[in-house]
Amino acid sequence: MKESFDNKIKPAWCNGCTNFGILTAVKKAFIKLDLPANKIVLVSGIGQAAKLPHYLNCNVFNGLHGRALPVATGIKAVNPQLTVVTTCGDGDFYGEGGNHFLHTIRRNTNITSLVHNNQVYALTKGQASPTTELGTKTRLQFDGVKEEPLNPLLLAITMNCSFVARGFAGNIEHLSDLIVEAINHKGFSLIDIIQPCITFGIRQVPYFKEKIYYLDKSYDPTDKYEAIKKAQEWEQKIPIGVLFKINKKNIFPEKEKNLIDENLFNKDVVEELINTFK
Amino acid sequence: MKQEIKKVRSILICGQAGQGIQTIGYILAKILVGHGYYVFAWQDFQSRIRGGESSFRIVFDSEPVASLPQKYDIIVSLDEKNTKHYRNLLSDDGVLISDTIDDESILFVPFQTIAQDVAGEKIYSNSVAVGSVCKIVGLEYKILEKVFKDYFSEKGDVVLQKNLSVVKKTYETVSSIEKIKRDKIEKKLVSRILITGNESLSLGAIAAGCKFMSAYPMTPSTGIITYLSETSHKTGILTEQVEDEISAINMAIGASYAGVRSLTASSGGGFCLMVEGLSLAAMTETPIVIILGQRPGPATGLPTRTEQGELNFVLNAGHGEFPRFVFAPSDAESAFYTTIKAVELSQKFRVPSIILTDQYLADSYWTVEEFFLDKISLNYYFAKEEDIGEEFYTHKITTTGVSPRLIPGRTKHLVITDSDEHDERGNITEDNEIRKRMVEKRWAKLHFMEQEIVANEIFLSLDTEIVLITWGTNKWVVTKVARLLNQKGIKAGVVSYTDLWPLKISPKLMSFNKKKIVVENNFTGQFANLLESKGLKVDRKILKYNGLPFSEDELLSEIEKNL
Repeated sequence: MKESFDNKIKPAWCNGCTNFGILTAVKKAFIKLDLPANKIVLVSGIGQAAKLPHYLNCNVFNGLHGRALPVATGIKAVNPQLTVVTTCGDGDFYGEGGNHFLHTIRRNTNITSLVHNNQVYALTKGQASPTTELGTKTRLQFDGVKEEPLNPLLLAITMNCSFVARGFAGNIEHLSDLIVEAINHKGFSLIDIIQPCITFGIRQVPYFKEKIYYLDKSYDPTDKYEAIKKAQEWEQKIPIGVLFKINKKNIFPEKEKNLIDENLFNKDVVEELINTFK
Repeated sequence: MKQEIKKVRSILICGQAGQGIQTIGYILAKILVGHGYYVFAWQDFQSRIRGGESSFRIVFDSEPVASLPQKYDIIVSLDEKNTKHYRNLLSDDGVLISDTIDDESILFVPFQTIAQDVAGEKIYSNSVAVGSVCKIVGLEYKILEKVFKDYFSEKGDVVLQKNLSVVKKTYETVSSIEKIKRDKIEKKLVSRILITGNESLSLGAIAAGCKFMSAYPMTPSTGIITYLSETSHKTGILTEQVEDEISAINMAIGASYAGVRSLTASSGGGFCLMVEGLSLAAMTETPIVIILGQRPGPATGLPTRTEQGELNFVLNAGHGEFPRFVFAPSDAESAFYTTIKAVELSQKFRVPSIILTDQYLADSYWTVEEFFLDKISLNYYFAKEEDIGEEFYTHKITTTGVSPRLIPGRTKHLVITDSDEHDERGNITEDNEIRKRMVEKRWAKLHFMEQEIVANEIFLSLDTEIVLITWGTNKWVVTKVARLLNQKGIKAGVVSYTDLWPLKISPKLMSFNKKKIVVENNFTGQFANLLESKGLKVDRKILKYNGLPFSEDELLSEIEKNL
């Protein structure tokens, strides 16, 4: 029997929230990958995006705001047989968790991160996030955002992130294919997902539908300099798809090994080590 | 120059950072252990890479030692500034060995000249320093030779031979100039362990079945991840130096959730960053062990010095209320077994265990008779799938508060947990009734946790006029001072704590109605206040907070001041 991944928990999202699209895309990706629910761990931080793991059937570690990546890294590091995916918002992932974002790219653990990027802190009711555009007015940033927005894709590409893609919550089929590709890619995979917030968002789905276009086969995602150019497109048109990918030798951990099956206490090894102090 | 020395039991080696005093000290300590002595060596150094003043202080005896005197029988100085800085620590009949100052009171040994003449390079002068001390103390060349071989074999035969010929020459030179009557060394054939606190904590983690460690380097705990990394090819432990302590604890929690025993280590500053993660471990009921090497704060404080200032912090760290274990091992031997206990109990109760060490424990070399591996019995705290039934609840409410655990991916069941308040299954909830039940479930463990705790360790009879109470590494200096008091006819007992939380006070201590003195390395008397909050009346606190450990002499005179 195929898993449906459906469960009975009612999401605490607004009616019509674009997160529903991502939820469906995630389930579809798992079905396409034919993954059993018990071999998947969804790890999240805090925020509306971070509630996603509760709304489908799989293992869940819903941790602290900003800290999904180190938890996910720890899980994958000791049990490589698990498929580990994080679901976080832009504030959670790029703001509070910014340092882990940088170092997870460096560490290159074989996990996939979905960032629901709505360019706003929605759960705390509408403050600017690291990706909010300059000049955007909010109740808190009453005279407009004065900080340059973070371009996560550009940043990731310049750091040689193993897999860098942009998805759109409004295209479930395409997004689920992207998730499949990201999970199949060995190394750290980032998918920044345009996920307009219907309550606090400045821009809505129709705006993005106008601007986006899909990268086709003529685009070579292994060309870093092209990828850097693509990642800077935003004002006029917005590319969706895999912007950059690279096969890297350095993956954490260096040796894939299931540490769960190791003997707890190896007397001979402990004895040997103790003898070095005699 | 002094004509004779009574009994050498303490040696202070000093020099600038980068001059290799740690190497000399370690070699000397190994030679002394080789003679059958119990050896303890504390390192006093500054937070710098080169220059300054630093010392390596060795005490040794035919019975266990681990506390420091105020003055030293021998001082070896590699540097003129250090000679000036440390010479006030020379005992009245002590010998100061130096090659920089040649005055009446100093035993001048031309370290550099001998090194240059024999080995052709001045860098061998450290071996001259070692050789000088060994000759003066009357240590056997054969044992020295063995230690040198063990230590220098990696560096190749040329280096080893040069070192040995330098020492040989030193032995001849020093014999011709020194007129010191030597203490007779009684050599016993025992092979004891010489180990630092950090190494011992690491061995404890290995023996306890830990398979994952993530940490960010911070003095004085860096030695733990270093040792675990160096030995990982043998132990199979996966270590990762991470971007910050927040990552360290969260990664260790992730590994633990996935089913392996994991730990992290830091000092107070790093632990500050871990505190939200500590709370996460408590809420998700994920076992975790945190080793906190205390150093003086607040903030960066004195990075390389010692203190016991974090007791209140670890007892109260973390937002929200949750039970935890706190331990403070007293020495390297205790560090080994305490780590195993901390890991086991964290697994058993699915709560955080914190091990408080300090610079005095972490960086010092301790003599351990033997680690008894037959005493170790580890339990497997995961439930069997067949015992679970149709539904699995990660946070199932039970009478002990402890829910059965499963490993994600190793069961048909799903393992769900949340930092938000959750229902038994682990899913997020805002139901106030469930909230109340989950709080009570987490706290239900406390009663059972208390039963695992040793009330306190009584080292000297309490049938006395005064009792000295302390915790952690101060056990050694306090016990030594109590013995000195008893020799002087002042009856003194000692109570020392390793299991700090949940706190238990034995009825015997509770009913002791004479003078109770608490000795600790902090300003406010954190442990004394804790004892008082549990109803034990404390008569006096003796506190030290300048960053240095108590010396025997200062503690003794402090106690005697007000008897």
